[in-house]
Amino acid sequence: MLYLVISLLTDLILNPLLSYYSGNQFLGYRIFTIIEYSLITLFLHSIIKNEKFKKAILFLSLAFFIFSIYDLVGSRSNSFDSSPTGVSCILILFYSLFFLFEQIRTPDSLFLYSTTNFWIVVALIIFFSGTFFIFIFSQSNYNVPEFKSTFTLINSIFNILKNLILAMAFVIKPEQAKARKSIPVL
Amino acid sequence: MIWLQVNQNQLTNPGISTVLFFGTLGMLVLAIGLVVFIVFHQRRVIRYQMQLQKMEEEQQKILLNASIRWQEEERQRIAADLHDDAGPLLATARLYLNENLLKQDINTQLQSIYNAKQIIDDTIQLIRNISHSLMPPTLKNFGLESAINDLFQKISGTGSINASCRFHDYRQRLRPEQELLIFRVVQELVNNILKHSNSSFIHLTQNYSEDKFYLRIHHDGRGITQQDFEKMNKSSLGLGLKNIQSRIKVLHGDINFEKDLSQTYYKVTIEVPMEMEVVS
Repeated sequence: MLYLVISLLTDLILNPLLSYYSGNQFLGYRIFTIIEYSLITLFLHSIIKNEKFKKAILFLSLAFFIFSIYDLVGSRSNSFDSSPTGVSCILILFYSLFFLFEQIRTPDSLFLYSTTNFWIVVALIIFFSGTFFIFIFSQSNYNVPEFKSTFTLINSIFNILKNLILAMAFVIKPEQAKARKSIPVL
Repeated sequence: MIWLQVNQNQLTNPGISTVLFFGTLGMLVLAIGLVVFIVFHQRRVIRYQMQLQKMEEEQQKILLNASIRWQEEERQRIAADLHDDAGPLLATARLYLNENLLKQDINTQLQSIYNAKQIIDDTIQLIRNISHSLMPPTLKNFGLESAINDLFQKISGTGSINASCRFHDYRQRLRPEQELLIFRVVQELVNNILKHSNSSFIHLTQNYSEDKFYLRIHHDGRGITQQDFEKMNKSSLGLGLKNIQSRIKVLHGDINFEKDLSQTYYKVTIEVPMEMEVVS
């Protein structure tokens, strides 16, 4: 939920403000990538139970933070942050796969698709796998008009798709175990 | 990162949209395919687990039914022994004593009392036999080794079959409940061999290895293999075998029926994890 609020605030307030005051719209993107990765990773870390996976997530996250801070400080800040975004996409896809793999091995629910967490993870997988390519190619092509229109189209489609699936995930009610009433209520 | 840089440099050409379109489509298809696969696989795994659980429950039910049936049969046997043997004997003794009260002749009285005493002695012996069949005193007082030795000596004593046993290492006794369960299993196995196998000998050996207690029974008659045992356990036949299975389960042990490599002998191996008797 927090992730959705921050996404909305970034799109509506942070990006226009940064763009207006610093003349650099990409700075907002760079900050958002780190926040987005942190929130999603926090969520995935909380729903994954396997200790090995949890440790792997912590280790990879540490590496990612070092890399993205280095990228934020060291590289040109007026270009799209393809490298951290691409890496964060891959890492989040990995963590999502960890979750799904864990659900196969030790299922919590009889119907996986009746759980909120599953649909949130599906939304993340679809969004990040769909936008992976455009993020990768954005750094050097963002200013090409043809690319920009494609970027906007693909990004918007997957954003809408992600939000629809997330909405579905929040609406879905967890599967209720049917109470077996062998003794009638007296 | 080098790979990313290369791609970024290469793709400043007019075909970007096509590459992006197919790349994104490919990723999307992969992602959806993966999710669908996981959902179906998870359902299959759960269905398989439920099937296993159901089979296990059915097996438990069969064993429980067998155990209840065995208990009922045992009660019926004891009831029949008491009703058919002890009952008439005591009734006869009562008759002798009644007669004794009515007739005043001293010789007849003495004869009646003597007869009544004989009958009461027989009844005591009968009740003792019933009691021993419920809980062998040798087992209770001297342990599994003596009880099995005793059992095999009695069988050998009949002359119809050669029964022998050898305990290699039984310095530390198992707990009494374990001994009783193992003894019952051995009794049931030996009964089955005597009834169905038509063998000329039964040989039992015992040993320890790695905190496990082992018993092995050999015989040269008709026997069963593990497959037959499992098959009979799942069917409504073989009450004795189901009792063996439930007792072995209580012991957290294992039983294995097999034919000897020479194809001449059948052997049954019982394996029980060691739980020593706690000396207070």
